[in-house]
Amino acid sequence: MDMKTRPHNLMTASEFDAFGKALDEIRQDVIDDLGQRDVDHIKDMMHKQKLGEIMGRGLIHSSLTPISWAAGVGLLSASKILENMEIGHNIMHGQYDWTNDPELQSQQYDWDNVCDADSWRKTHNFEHHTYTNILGKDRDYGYAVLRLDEGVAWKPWHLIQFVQYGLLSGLFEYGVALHELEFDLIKSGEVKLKDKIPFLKRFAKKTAKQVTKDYIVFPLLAGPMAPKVVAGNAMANLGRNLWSSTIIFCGHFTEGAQTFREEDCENESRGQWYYRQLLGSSNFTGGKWLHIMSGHLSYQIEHHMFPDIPAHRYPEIAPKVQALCEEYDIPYNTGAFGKQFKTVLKRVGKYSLPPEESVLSPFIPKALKAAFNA
Amino acid sequence: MKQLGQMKLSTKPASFYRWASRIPSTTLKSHLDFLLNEFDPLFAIQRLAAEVVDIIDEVEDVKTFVLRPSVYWKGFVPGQYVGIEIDINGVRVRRNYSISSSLSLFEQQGLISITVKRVEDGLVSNHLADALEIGSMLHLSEAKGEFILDPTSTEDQPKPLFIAAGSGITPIMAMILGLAEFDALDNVVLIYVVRRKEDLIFNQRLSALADANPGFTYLPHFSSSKRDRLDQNNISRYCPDILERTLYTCGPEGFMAIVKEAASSLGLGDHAIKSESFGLPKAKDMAERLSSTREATNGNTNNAPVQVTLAKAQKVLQSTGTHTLLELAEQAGLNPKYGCRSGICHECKCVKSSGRVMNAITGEIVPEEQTHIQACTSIPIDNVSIESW
Repeated sequence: MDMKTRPHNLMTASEFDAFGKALDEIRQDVIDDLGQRDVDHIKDMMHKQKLGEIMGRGLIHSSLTPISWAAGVGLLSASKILENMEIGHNIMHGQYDWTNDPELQSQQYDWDNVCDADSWRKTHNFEHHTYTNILGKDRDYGYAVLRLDEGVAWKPWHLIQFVQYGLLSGLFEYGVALHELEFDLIKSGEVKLKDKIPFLKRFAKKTAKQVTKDYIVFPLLAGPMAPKVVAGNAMANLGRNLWSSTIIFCGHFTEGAQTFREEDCENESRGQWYYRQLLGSSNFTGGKWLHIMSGHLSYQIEHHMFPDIPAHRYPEIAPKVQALCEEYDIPYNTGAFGKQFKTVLKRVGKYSLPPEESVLSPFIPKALKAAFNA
Repeated sequence: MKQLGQMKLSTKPASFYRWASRIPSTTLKSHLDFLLNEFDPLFAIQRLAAEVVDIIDEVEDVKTFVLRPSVYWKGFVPGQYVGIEIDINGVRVRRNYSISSSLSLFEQQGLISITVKRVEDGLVSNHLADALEIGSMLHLSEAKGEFILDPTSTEDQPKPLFIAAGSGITPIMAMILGLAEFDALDNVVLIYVVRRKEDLIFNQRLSALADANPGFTYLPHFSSSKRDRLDQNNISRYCPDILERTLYTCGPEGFMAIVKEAASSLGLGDHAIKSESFGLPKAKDMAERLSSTREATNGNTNNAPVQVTLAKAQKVLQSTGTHTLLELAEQAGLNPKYGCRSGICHECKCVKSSGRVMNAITGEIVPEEQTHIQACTSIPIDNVSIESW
């Protein structure tokens, strides 16, 4: 499908420029309005996160019944989600650099996640946000584990990619932490393992820090009750991993989220860059706290167009972006959270199957193909 | 004799603070701070807080803010200043203000004060005057500065001659109060220069001190016109024995330059002249100085705007000589790191790839080949490129 992978042909250069200019103006309006409100928001989030973490850890430690233990796990998991998504991810994007507050500085922030902050800023802020959904360039696309587009060659092990998907989600923070290793490129010989030693050192340091905290120090504080703390912290981390993976998959791997070829994205204009960000991302709708707990990545489109404006502003500018899309007749991919996630699962299923031209294709039950293509 | 510094601080908070500051994990520290903040912001360990407990109108456009600093705040020596941090519409800004209160106020009640004059278009001074209320919280640094007079060690020292202008009285007020508390306000002279009588900050208190201490000579000097300017003749008339004294002067840059020059011509050695810089010269004075610098170096007085290119921000700014590089960048929406804003601390270092700048305070020309410059005192002479911004 050429149309899908070559979106830049659809509008004229001057249309792209006007489109880009209109989006620049939306951004500038927010920049001009930045102020106390934004600081109040993020400080409120940080306050709630700390309260949640202290209460959650307290409950896990002091619980005498499974119910209070589970409540503690839930609170700790929620606070970890809040810290990773709305606080850490957004601060590290530089959304609050303008405040001069050292606590809110992108380059100094480190999050409650095994992924080293410097590595994250490189692989996510730079690589993923610059080369969004360009096959072969955006390493977030399928994380070199999943086949989510026909542009990726099918291999027999893709047949069971639901298993890989489950493992990736459950261990998401480790997947993200090891992203910079580029294991697939080491395997193919394009990258030497030796060159990755500095990264591996940083990875080991951060992982050791996280593991020490959640699985050694806090459990030891509980004395003989250490196992329930180990289990509680593991559950809380698991919950956070599943949630963040789900949110991120809903942002780029829904049915309508498009992919691009490297050669089509050369010499992009500002307007074309915005356009690619738009087509490669998808939003989902929901209540205030669904947005907050997703770090406002429920507004993935706005986030990808304006990664460095405070995320809680996305709901305010989304109607303007949507209206602009209507004006230029560009699809604006959004829908209910459940519906969007279902299309993600369908996509994982669809591309797990061999393509039509493959010799294996006739052996795949028609019903299965139909289910994933429906 | 009393010991200066750390007088108020009892050992318990001090040792807790020392312990807590050594916590290696910033996450743990910020969680601890979260709990301490819930209890009382003055117990927070990461940033020292202060509460505004009183606001006193001194004279027109001048207010004194009485502050209760964090329990860990270490104290000060008269003449020192504190860095005040405050959030203005979400943006954290920092300025230095001299402590204007006595040692005993801190020792007995744990309070200090700063006295702030509104600066025309001054972001922070106006915000403090307009927005601070009793009960407001701000953040402050430990006391800093070398412009000090330790009242416990005045024996065998030359007696002081203070020459202050305008709000330059603030550190000198703390020095005079310190001397008075240690019964050392003897054979002390203060020349205080303002435009009109109504501008005399602390006038009543200074007069009362002069009445109570016969050895303290308080000499207000009014310079409403150029003719009344303080000069060598006035100074030697007010203080004939200046050569036996140490001069402490504080005020606007231009004023201090005149005072120092006069003192030098009267024969006072450099070691006996101590001064505190109060920020930058006025915009108009900077532009004038730039113009004469250009004349001297380029041979023309052409004051056409020059361009400042910020490589990373991809911006080109116009400089007319009235603002420093730091101010220009801030006006353009950048938030470069800075500290003292008066050429002391080097927090605002930026990397210049081409062009020359003038030091706004000293008038010194920073040549083309010097790349690391202080943005807060630099005024572009030619077109300048900054590669670090």
